[in-house]
Amino acid sequence: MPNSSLPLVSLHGVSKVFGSGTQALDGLDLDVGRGEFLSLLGPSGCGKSTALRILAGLSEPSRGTVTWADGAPAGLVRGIGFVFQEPTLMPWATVFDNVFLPLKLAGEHRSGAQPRVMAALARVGIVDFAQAYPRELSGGMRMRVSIARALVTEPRVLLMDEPFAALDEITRFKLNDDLIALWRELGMTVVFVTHSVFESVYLSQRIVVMTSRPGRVSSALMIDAPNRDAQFRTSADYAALCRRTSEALSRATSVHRDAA
Amino acid sequence: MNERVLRIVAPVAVMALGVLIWDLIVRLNHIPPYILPGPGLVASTLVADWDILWSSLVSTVVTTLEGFGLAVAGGVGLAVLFNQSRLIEHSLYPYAVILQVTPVVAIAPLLLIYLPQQAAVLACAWIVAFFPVLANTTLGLNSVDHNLADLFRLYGASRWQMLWGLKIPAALPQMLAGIKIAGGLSLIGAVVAEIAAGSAGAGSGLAYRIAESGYRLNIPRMFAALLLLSVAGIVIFALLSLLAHLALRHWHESAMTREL
Repeated sequence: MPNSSLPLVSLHGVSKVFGSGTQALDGLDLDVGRGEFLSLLGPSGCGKSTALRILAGLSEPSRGTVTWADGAPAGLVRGIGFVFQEPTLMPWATVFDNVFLPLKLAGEHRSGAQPRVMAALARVGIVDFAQAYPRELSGGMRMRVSIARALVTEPRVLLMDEPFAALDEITRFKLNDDLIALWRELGMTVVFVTHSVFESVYLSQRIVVMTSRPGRVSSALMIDAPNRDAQFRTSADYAALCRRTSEALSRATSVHRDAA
Repeated sequence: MNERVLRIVAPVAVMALGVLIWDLIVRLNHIPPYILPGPGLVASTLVADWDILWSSLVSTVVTTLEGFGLAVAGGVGLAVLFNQSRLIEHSLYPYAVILQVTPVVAIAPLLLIYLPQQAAVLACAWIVAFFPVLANTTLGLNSVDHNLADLFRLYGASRWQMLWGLKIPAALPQMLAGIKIAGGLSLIGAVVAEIAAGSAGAGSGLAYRIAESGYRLNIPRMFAALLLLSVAGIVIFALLSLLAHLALRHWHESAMTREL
């Protein structure tokens, strides 16, 4: 439920041109509401990952502004959790130490941080693997570690860059359900980048469809469905929403083709 | 026969066979010991000359370890310095390469003119051994996972945390590969310098013993000294392999045994 008050963060006319001359974003306007689950949907190379990196402060816009409601400077915002496409774990460190990392970098001691690390591991159901090394885990488990690491700082915003794209369908469905449960429980804002229509419809309250090269917003869809579960996934409503979203996506890509 | 037993038994059997053939050739052809001593004579010379050979071995091994220690410190130190500053890297790297590609056999006599003998031998051991450490560590420090580096930035890691928490552990496999090569090379450097110095008539290391025994046509002692040098090289290699294995066994593919 996007709050009626000020958006948590807004991008205004954000453009990004890389040193190679590639224009990833051109005049992107995007408001992210407090507590909402927002998906950025678009074909590969539409700049959705770039938009996410700009939100995180990992990349600077070439033009345009990023405004946080609380006035925090974008590059230094605390309270951001980031989940990459790959689990991006330190292979030399145990699951515990990987999840402890954000707190360690903030100068906290291991013993003091332990309860919070264990709580984060418990949230994603991997407490028993605290002392395992990443290579001993399956792809889905590694992604759980990655999510636990993002959650350990109790972020206001969770930014996710196609986190489940490399996983098999069974694991992906399970992680989708767990992610929704976490979002409900923790009341955080999630910005989820994906190229999967089905995933975006299943997860989001709002889907922003992007055009590619350069990336900008093509359309936005509200997904009004209170329950996200196996029943929803097989319902006629879900199928209809997927069809609408799919059409919006193909419009976004065909506009691009006509322009090109 | 299982794999482990085979790995020990097979090379030992090959060695036994080789020694047997060597012994037969010497006996059947009545080759005099000043041309080719039999294995039995080499062994008895090793026992008879043990005192003198042992002190020479200690001398060579100490030089090797000192050179190796300095090579590791210098190689890792320079690599870290290069990683922190492009200017220093561009200024110094070419000279590190020049030092490496100039054959140490040719440098040794010059060093012996300008440096006290012990220091010259040490310098040779260092020159040949430090480059692989430098080159491999540099490669390792530069191949850090970009997403992990982004993650460290996102959580506000300091330069120091970035180095100790991310770059050094990530570079460890390559660094250890360089160190493993450096172990063997520092022995070579020490031997080359000792031989160069030995022909000048001073020194006490094993290589000097070999050169000296050659002049005196004491061929059995040459073989005995060579045997000890070879054993020293094997021990250094084995210890460094063990170190690499212990450091990487939990997380790096190179330290894993895979079951098919």
